[in-house]
Amino acid sequence: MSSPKLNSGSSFKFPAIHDFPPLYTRQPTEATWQNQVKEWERIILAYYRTHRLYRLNLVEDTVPGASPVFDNQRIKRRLTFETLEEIVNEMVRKGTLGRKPICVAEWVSDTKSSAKISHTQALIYWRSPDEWASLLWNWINERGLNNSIMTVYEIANGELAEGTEFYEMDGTILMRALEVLSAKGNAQIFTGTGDVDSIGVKFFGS
Amino acid sequence: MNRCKPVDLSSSQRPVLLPGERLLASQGQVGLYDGFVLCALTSIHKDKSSLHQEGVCYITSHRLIYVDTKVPRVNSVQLDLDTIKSIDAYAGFLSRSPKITIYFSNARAPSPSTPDTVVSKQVATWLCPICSFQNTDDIEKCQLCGVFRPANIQITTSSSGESVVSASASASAPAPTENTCPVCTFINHPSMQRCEMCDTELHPKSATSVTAPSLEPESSSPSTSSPTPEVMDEDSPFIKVAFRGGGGGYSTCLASLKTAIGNRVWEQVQKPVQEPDRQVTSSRGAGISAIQERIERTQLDAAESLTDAFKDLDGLMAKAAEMVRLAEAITTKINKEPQGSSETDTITLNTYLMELGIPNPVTKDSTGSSYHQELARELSDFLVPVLDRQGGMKSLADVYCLFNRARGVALISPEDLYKASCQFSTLNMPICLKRYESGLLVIQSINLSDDRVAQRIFNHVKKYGPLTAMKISELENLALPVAVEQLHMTEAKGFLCRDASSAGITFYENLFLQSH
Repeated sequence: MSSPKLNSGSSFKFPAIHDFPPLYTRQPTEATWQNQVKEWERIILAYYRTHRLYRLNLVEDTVPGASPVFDNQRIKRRLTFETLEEIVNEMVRKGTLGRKPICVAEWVSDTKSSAKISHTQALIYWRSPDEWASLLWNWINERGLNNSIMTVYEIANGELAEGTEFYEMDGTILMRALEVLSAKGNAQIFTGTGDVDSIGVKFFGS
Repeated sequence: MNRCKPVDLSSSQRPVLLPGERLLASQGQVGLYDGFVLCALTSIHKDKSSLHQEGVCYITSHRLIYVDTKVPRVNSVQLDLDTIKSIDAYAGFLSRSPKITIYFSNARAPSPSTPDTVVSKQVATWLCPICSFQNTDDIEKCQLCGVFRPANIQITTSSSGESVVSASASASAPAPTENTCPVCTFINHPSMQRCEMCDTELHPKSATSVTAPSLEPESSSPSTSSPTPEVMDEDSPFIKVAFRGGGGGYSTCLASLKTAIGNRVWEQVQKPVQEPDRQVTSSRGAGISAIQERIERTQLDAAESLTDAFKDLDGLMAKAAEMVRLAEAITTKINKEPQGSSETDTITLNTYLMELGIPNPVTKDSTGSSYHQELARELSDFLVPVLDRQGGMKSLADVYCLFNRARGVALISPEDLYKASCQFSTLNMPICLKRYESGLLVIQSINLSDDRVAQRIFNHVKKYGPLTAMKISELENLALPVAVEQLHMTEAKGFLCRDASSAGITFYENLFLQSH
């Protein structure tokens, strides 16, 4: 396992296509549009991986000057909210439609009205939940934490987790990964009464 | 049918006209019958004229041209009008289509100035000094005013008195060559069937009367297929033009044919274009003043013909041909002067002059039911060189302007242009009408495929970097909407991608598709 870069500085180098003005215009030709989406997907995943970001807020990120990803000051082009929404939509759709789902994004459902998914926030899976799950499971086995009960907060923010890839990771994505482990029979989730952080997890033996 | 010769056809299967020749009328769905053989519509007696069953008939000032619809290159024939002796019309009855029968003169190009029967006696006449009446020599008192013949009056013996004598004798002995009306005594042209003045039927008593009366019963009942014994020629003595398909345009064609035969345009010598500066060379020697004067005079002449031309529409019609000739003269003059103004200016001026003038515009009157097809053919003839020069594509609106400017007179409506353009594919023209998704209609040459256009646009983008529609329209010499359409088409093919900014849409090379 290669150790991840934890620096969040300006070391991220955008690919050459990031300076290509047509990238910021929604292409009407379908084949071109599909490739445009791929380019954006690559840029977003690479950027989010480098900066260890998990959530994409469409409204905030498309405000002028808010994000270096979507607002290119050098060529004075900016991605609009509508286009970004379409791009994220494509990313989400690809995860749900593909035969071997490579989930790269997921809309965050509004907690108040869960039936209706508002397209303002998306989770970006630069690692899929499966990958996160196997990463977690390896860590559990390495540290000998089998058959112990931990809270979700402990896993992401505890002293033990310091220096791991999932340190300070997004709670929702962590839950997805734990759900995967639970489905495999490697863990059991105890839903507490409080918020996400107080949920307990018991890992079984290997 | 030996008199009928093959026809020169243009690429759009229209006849090529001679210099000075004018198209008077044309009519589709026309059949041609050679002599008696095909008069009866029985298939047994079919002659080679059965090859001329359906086609378009053109009547020009010089010729009668038949262009076959099915095999135009092989079966089309033409007939010089000067071989026609007379024509006869049959208006059609019930299912019988109207027909025009054309009789040939046996002698080619008969000249009305050589009468067959010579004037029998020379008559001496004297001119009455009071009333100027020409009296014959043997009369002592003027027949008109009763004045006695003066003793010293001059007696002339001439044959010119002939007509006067015959006129005074009230058509008892009409002049042999002239077609004198028995009612009003107006001397008609020998080819006339009815008097021009009073419309009385004429029975020409000229040299042609040997065959004409014998043929007349045939023409009045064209279904009989009995041969006439009087036919001396091994060729059939006449052909028939049958107007099928309801016989529309029959009367127009008949009238045009009559006018054409009556006018005898082919006898007029084609006058060469007079270069205005050649005819007047100032007597006051050479030098700059003389040159200036000459130029001034040329301009004056040109201005004069221009003002003449625009006096009224009729005048313009008449002057149109002259204008075209003037344009041609200027073109040749410019070509002769290589050191003239800048090269591009000359070329532009040349194109303008070339575009000025379709000598015989197709009109609704002259074509009838086949109007749109004929218009399509004319349009094709006109557009092919224009398209070759200007990128192979023009929007319909541009074509409308160019075409009407070239016609000068007899302008067409946009609807007629559209209908004519729709005919391109059915007529196998080298150009076609294309509708873009936005609804823009363009006319493009048939060998200009989308792929070729896309490749060309793409090459431009590669060469010049990102381009806007404006730039493309400049580079390709296209109208802006056409350039936009071509760019969109190229984009749809995946060659380009767009960048919509506040400055407008710019098209880039498609890096999205190339990077994979």
